[in-house]
Amino acid sequence: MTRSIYTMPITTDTSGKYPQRIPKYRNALFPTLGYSMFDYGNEPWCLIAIQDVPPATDAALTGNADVFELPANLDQTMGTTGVRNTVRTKLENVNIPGTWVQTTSTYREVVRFIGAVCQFAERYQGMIGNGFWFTGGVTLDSTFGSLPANVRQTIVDAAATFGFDTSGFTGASTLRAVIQSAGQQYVAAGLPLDLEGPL
Amino acid sequence: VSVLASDNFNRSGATLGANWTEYGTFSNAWNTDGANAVPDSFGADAYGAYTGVTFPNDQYSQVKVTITGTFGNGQGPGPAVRMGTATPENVYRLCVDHAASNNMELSKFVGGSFTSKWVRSQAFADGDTLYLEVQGTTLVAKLNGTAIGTSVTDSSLGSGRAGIGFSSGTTSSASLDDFEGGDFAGVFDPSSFPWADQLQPMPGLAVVGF
Repeated sequence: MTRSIYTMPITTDTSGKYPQRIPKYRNALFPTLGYSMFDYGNEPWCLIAIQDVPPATDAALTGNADVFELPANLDQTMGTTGVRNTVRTKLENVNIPGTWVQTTSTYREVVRFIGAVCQFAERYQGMIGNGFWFTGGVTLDSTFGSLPANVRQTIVDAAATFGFDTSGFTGASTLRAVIQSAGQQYVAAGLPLDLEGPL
Repeated sequence: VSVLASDNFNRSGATLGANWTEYGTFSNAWNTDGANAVPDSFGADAYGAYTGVTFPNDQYSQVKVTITGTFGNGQGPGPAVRMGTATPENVYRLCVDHAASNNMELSKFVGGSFTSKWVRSQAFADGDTLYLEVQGTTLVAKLNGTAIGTSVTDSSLGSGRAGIGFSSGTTSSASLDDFEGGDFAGVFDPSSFPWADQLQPMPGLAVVGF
């Protein structure tokens, strides 16, 4: 089995018995392929590993501007400023901190970070009972202090369940800094990131 | 591994009876037909959380599954873990039918919001045992003791109960038998034994697993 890793939006399929959050292009482009997915909490976006993707399907997927494919060799670096900026933009456009990515960063570092922030967002979602971060004008540049009290507290509580240091989460911190810190602490702690195999 | 709960469903009634909390589209979500647990309606999702014991956060559920449906797309019965006991649903569930491809789906409900975690193709025979475990943030599914693909990480749900689930659809019959739920107590974790690397085998004996 070969694994191809992409980021893509999650769509809510309302054609069935209840709304189902599924990868946006599943039904149209890979209805019979196996996959595993990390959702970005309740945000409409995911990291997905698809099994044995035929070349035509891969081309169809990557032909969509909202799909980003990670290279097969995750240990290669960004290499150039242009590639680095593209990756930064891809992440920031879906409200995942991306400014930390450097030309010397590897795609494995990037994909692990994405997986880690997905885990943090999932924990937040589970604890708050289905909330969104990026609603009502909230962006990565919003300050932690500008968020509702229950959101701030749940973010801290979610971080605590993983054993993260939250002393740097101040009112002046941006949401970017908070999510980035959580993601980097998740990776540093060596916590699980299994998506059709370890990331 | 410790078995904390089991049920062979060898009784007849309009509910699962004692030790179970049922919920779903209908509050009495399950029947028993003398030998199996059967969804009250094949057109309605059904959950049964085993509430006769308290499950630790790391837990497993296994059950024998039978279904005629071939639709796929996450339909069918199966084991569930970290279940809540009421709607809106909180649960990890594994659902299967006999579709030619993508007949198995691991999904989650978080606060009633459904998300597909993985989809895989794995043939099975009616009466086979499906197993779902969660340890920490790692979910593992097995068919008759053999892993169904690789594990997957999810951090949404931290606690709950083991039990059974049914994802409704087009099937004309489905049933579950011989439920078992348990934990991983007694599983030796070398990392919790700080001097493990200092153990020396007794002459004539081998130390394995360190």
